[in-house]
Order: sequence, then structure tokens, then C-alpha cells
Amino acid sequence: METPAVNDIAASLSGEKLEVFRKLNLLEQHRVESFKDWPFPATASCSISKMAEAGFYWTGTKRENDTATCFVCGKTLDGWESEDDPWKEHHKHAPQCEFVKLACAEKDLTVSQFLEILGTVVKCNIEKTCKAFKLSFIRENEERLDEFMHNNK
Amino acid sequence: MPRTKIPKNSKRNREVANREEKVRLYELKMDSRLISIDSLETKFLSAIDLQVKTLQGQVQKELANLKMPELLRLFTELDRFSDYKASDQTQLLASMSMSSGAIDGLAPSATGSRNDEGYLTEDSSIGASGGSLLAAHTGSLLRSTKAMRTPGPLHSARARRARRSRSACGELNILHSAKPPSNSNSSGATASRNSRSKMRTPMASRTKAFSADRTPLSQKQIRSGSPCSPPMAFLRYPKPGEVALSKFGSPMVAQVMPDKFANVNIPIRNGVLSLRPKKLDAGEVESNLLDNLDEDTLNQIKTLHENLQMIVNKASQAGFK
Repeated sequence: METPAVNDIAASLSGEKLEVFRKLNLLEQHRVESFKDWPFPATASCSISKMAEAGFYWTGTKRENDTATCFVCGKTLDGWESEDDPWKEHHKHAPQCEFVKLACAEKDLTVSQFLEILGTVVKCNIEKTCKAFKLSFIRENEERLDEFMHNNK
Repeated sequence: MPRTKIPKNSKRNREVANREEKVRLYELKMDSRLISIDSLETKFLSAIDLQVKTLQGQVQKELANLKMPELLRLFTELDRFSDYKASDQTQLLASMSMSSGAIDGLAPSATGSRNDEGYLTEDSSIGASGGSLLAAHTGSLLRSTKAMRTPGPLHSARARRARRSRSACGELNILHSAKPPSNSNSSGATASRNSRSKMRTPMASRTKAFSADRTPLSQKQIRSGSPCSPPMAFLRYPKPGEVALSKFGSPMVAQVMPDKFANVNIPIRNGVLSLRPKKLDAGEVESNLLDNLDEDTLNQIKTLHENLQMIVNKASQAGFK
């Protein structure tokens, strides 16, 4: 609705150039495409396109289909109502988010702002991956330790 | 005689000790592994920061201020962002005039005789008679950018003058210090040269070898890092619209702005002296190379030398090393 031009362009691109960004949900088009299911129509104030514009991608499930996460700060929000404004809710729940601070949709973002966002997103992703890896590493090793202690009793 | 009983470790005791030792080692190893993961993480995070910073520094101002929809459109048209750089002439002109303004600030004495707003025209540069030295310098820089630019308004204005490039006329021998080209398509028409051409190898009689950059991308990056041409060389600029083709003889100034190092290009009577920031031996300055320097040019070089010296002095005063 609000950024048809952007979406058209991104959609018409030769896929592989921008595909690297998909995993990070960096582009609005990719965020729009992440919504496999969403309880609100395109006319609602939290329609898919407005959610994607405010930086949210879909992290819902079949049972809880109204869950979305910000691609920059990683804030996950659910329990949306059709009259919620995604930008306002984003600001209310995650005022520290770099994307909210810019308060700028992708169509108005300059390349240097996008680069800053890209840096933040990649760093968050690294932190998240490291944290997850460390947790699984510790858990796995504790299991092994338990096993060892058990076998040697 | 009785003696103190030293209790022998039972097998069980030894096993317990062994196990504890193993657990202790395990904990040590795990801690060190976790620490190394942390340090890797910080390393990557700072690498990202650095990358973004360098990107911000490298991306041209105009490109950096582009809105995302336009950038996405560019994605369809360009393979690399350097292509955008090459096609954008206004950006280059803007940065040129900016840089010449910056130099003016450092050496105000040289701006007095300036009458062409820093843009040296092609004709005035041949004797290097008009314009200040700095103008000549920026002018030569400007000319060096022309080879990369797409035809613009200036180009079409030049085209109206219906000039032919020198190489197209077969007058290649005006490059005195260059090796006289032994083979040229247009000169091959005369009878005397035809007879000579019988001695040629088949390869040498090939009609045209368009020079194209076939360097892989990885090598290109290495090359742009440091000066690859000799510290002082005799070059000439390709004319607007001319295909830069160098089969023999002196290299041409075809690789233009991507050079990230400071260089000096001095237009002389029949070409350009291009100086690179590498040490130059006295033996390398051939006297015939300097035959084409007239008094004006020499004086301008002297002023340029003084200016450079002034910049170096200022820099060392300011504490640069």
C-alpha cells in the first residue's frame, strides 16, 4: 500500500544479489514475504505492509500467528490488535532500537543510514548466534559430564 | 624394627583422584574454550564496525545519500558499485573542484594567475602556458578522469569540433620518447611499410588489440593498493572518446582515478609526465624525456616543488610523520 514501488523493484530483481539479505530480514520486501499468516487485513493499521515498514518480520506459528519480531532490536511482540500502529508499538516496547530511533521507512532511508542499520543487524546476529552456541555448548558438555560421573561411580 | 606405615593408595582411591583430575581438566578446558569464543565474538564485532566504517568512508557522498529505492534500482543495473563511480561525472567534477579548493587553502600564493577556474582546457595545456600551476595540476587530474566518464555535455561540445585523435591519424611518432610504433593499421597503407610488414610475425600484423581490463577482481584490489607504475613515466592521456590501445611504446594514462595514491601529472609539449610516489633514481630521468620541457613548464614544476615542500613542511610542523 505505502511502498509498492520499492516492493515491485525488489521483486523484479535478479534474486541472488539480494538473497543474502533475506536471512537477516534486512529488506522490506523480504520482511513482507516472511508473513506466511497474519490475522489482519491490508486495510488494518497493522497490515503486513505496515508491519514490514516498521521493521517487523513474522515469527509466528500456526497457533500464534500474530507474533512479529523487529529485524534490528529483535524485540518480539504478539497480541496485536487491528488498530495498533506498528511504529508506535515498536517505539513503546523498544525505544532503544536503532531503527525506531531513525523512525524512517525503507523508502526514505539513505544508503549510509542503511549501512549503519546493516552493521547493527549483523552485530546483533553475531551476538545472538554466539549466545545460542555457548548455551548449547555448555548444555552438551554438562550432559557429558553427568554421563561421565554416572559411569564412573 | 617397626617403621611408620605409609598407606598404599587403594585402587579405588586412585580412581577417585583420577576422576577428579579429569573433571578439573575438563572444567579448565571448557572455560578456556568459552573465553576463546568470547574473544572471537568481540573480534568479529569490531571487524563489522570497521567494515561499516570503511564502507561509509569509501562510498561516495552522492551514493551514500541515495535513497534505498534508488539503490535497489541500481542493483538491477550495476554489477559493482565502482561502475556507478565511473559513470558519474558530476560527482567527479564536484570532488575535483573541492580538492582544488582545499589545495588553494594551503598554497594561496599560487592562485594569483589563475584564470580558468581550475579547469584547464585541452588547447591551453599543450604548451602549458596559460593558467596557474595548480590549475594545470587539477586540470591534468580532470583530464585524467575523462577517460572513465561517459560522454557528457562537454564531450558532445568537443565532438562538434570534429577533431580526430592523434592516434587515429597515424601520427604516432610524435611521441618522441616512446618507442616508435613499428606496426599501425593506418600507416601500413604506404608502400614502404607494406614491404616492411612482410617480415612481421603473424601476431604483429593483427589488426587491432583493444585493451581491456581482464584482471580478476581480487588482483585489481591488490593493484589499487600501491603504485604499480614506475616513479616517473612518460604518458599521454587518451583523447575523449578514444579507445585506449597500447601495443607497444610508452604506457598511457588509461588507468585513471582509481589510483588512491598521490601522484603528479605534468603536461609537457607532447604528452604527460606522470610521477608516482616511489623512489626515483637519477639514472631513470632520461634527458630526452625532458627535452620537451619548455621554460614555462620548468618554472611551474619549480613552483609545484615549492608547494609540495611547503605542504611537507606544514605537515611535519603539525606533527605528522
